[in-house]
Amino acid sequence: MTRTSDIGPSVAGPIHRRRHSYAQKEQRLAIYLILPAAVAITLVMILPLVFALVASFFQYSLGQQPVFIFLGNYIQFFQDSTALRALLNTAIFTVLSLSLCIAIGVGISVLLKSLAPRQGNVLRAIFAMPILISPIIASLIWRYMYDPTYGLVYFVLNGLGIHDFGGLTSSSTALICIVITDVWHATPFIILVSSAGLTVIPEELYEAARIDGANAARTLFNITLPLLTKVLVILVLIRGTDAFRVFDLIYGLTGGGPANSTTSLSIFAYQQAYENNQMGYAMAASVVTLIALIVLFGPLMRNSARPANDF
Amino acid sequence: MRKTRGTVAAGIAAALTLALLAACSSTNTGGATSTTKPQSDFTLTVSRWSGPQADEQQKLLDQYTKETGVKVRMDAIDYASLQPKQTLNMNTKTGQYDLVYMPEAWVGQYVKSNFLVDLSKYVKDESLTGKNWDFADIQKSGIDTYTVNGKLYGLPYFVQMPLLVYNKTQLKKDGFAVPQTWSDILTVAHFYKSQGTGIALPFRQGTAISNVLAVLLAGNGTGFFDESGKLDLTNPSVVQAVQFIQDVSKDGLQGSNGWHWDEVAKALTFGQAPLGITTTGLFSQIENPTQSKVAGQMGYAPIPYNKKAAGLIQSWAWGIPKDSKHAKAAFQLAAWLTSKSAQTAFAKMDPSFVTFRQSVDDDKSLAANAPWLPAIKEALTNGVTLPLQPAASQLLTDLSAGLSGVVTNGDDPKAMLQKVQQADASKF
Repeated sequence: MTRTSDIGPSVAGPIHRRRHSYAQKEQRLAIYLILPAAVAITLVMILPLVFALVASFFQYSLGQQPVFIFLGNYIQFFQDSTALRALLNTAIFTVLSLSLCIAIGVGISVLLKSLAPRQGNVLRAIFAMPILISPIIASLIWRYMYDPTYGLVYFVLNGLGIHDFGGLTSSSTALICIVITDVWHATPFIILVSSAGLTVIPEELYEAARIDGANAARTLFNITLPLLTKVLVILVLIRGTDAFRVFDLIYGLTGGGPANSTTSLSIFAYQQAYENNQMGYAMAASVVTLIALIVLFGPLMRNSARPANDF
Repeated sequence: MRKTRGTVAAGIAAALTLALLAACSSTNTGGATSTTKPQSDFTLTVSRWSGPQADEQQKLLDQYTKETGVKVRMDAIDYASLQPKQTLNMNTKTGQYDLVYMPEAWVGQYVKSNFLVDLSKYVKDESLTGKNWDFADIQKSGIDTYTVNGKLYGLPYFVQMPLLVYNKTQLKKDGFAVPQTWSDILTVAHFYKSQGTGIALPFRQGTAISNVLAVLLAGNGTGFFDESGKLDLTNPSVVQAVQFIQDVSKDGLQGSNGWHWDEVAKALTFGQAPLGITTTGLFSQIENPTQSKVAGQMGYAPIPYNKKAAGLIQSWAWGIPKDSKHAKAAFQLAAWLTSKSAQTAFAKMDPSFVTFRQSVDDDKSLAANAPWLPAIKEALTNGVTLPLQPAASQLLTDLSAGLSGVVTNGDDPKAMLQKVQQADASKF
């Protein structure tokens, strides 16, 4: 083994220069390879984002001269009862959907792990099926499920003696119905990812717990969940941001009604942009959504790359 | 070797970047292309919605290509995406569309945004319209709808309106005459509700419920605005109409508060509802014996009124974007599509296609397949349109949300109207 310091200065100089020049070339290669991705990100993410931010400071409708109003759209947003309702609906939807998805998804994957591998795999494949359906198709399927005349949901509820379920046509139940649809559609993703996470937990830990006489709950809370933390953080991040930006499901199921009880921030921004041609206001609503996402999920995003023992 | 690797990597990076830029700059959206006997060195692109009648439209466009050699491509997309796509294209002057299919509600915004070509001179130019086109045969109400500040921006093409649809056999059996007034319909709907069904209503939050309100207002001798053009939602006649909406919704078929026109039509087609309110564009399916359980049994009437029969003119027209590179050729296509022969051919393919051409509407051979025509004519005697001002879309959005609250939450009609009045009065 030869180290640079072991060689005389007359030889070490050219070797050092050659390594330096090699490192430079490697760096150039890396820049070339990153370039397409950087161009793509600038074109499809950074520029639209800057455009949205700038447009949100204008009273701007397509085909008309924009008027600079600085924070006018943001002031209007926080004085608009429909916009605030959309913000509240989005928050409720995100909290309910995310917590149910994580609880059910992780619960199912833990149960599946306790089954024989073949049974577990078959059931996992069956449970994963909804993930193959696009959100808008899922919304159409569930729209018929919630139909009071033909729908399976009403058929089951009637069988249970419940005859006054409001479903999608009542302000008090419509959002819950959408949450249920979203949980049905998104939980398979949680099952698949958390099942993968469970496979890396050493079996010896469970064996030791069994020998120590730990019950299932203690094993879950003292071994499984702590060792799954990193995976859970990623799941909360992905599912939480997805839920906060929900559009397709609501659009297909209720269009934001009844009486704006299911209008989300995305639906609200869409209505302002394309139904009312208030592009500037729609951009402001989108920027508010983005800021809320950064505030809620930014810390998780930063922490997701940290070593596991930092949590 | 290292140099070669670096060069190759740089080459790959450049190729990927160029491919990406090329993909981003491409404007080709695909879609159907009429390729029968192509002779023209250009292709006209038509933007329309992909709902009912799109297939028949494609057949007519193919026929046009056969007759003239002008290639036509139809970009048919769903209704919800149609206005955004047209608006974005015309705003960024892509020149992608030569002809746009637009309802009257969008015209105010398009004209204000300076998107459309003034057709006033074109319709007088026989070299473009052809000799037998007959502009005077198009109903004046249609021309007026698409005229803004004395300039014509669209050739009226298709009209539809919401009507009352009822099962003649069922109503006769149960001893009811055709419901004409608010009081009649409340009695009939209440009876059927007590029998386990009710009236099918398009009362989902959205356009349909505000369209029904517009008809009820006209039928109650009022409108959204007072004589000076100011928003006037708190006048007692408007409150009365909204109160009626709340009353009739109580006797709606279960689920009606979440339905749009198509779901009402489905409930009627499957015989689940003995009566309902839906739009004429969907009547063919109700009368289609292969799809419908009630074909031949249904009657059609104007939506019940309090003072006089009324109807809502919901129409579509062909407009030419200013950024079209073939405006004259596009107008020739629009003139051909609105000609008597093309419209008769369309009505033969789809009886629910009702035109603004009087000669086509009076054609008895066509009327035999469209039993709803007399009801349309009756409703048109007091035909109104939705408000067409640019701010109208915001008003209708707010009203549909408010009406949804009235029918689902039992909100007070007067309080709801006061709230919308307060929010939107300054915009008119």
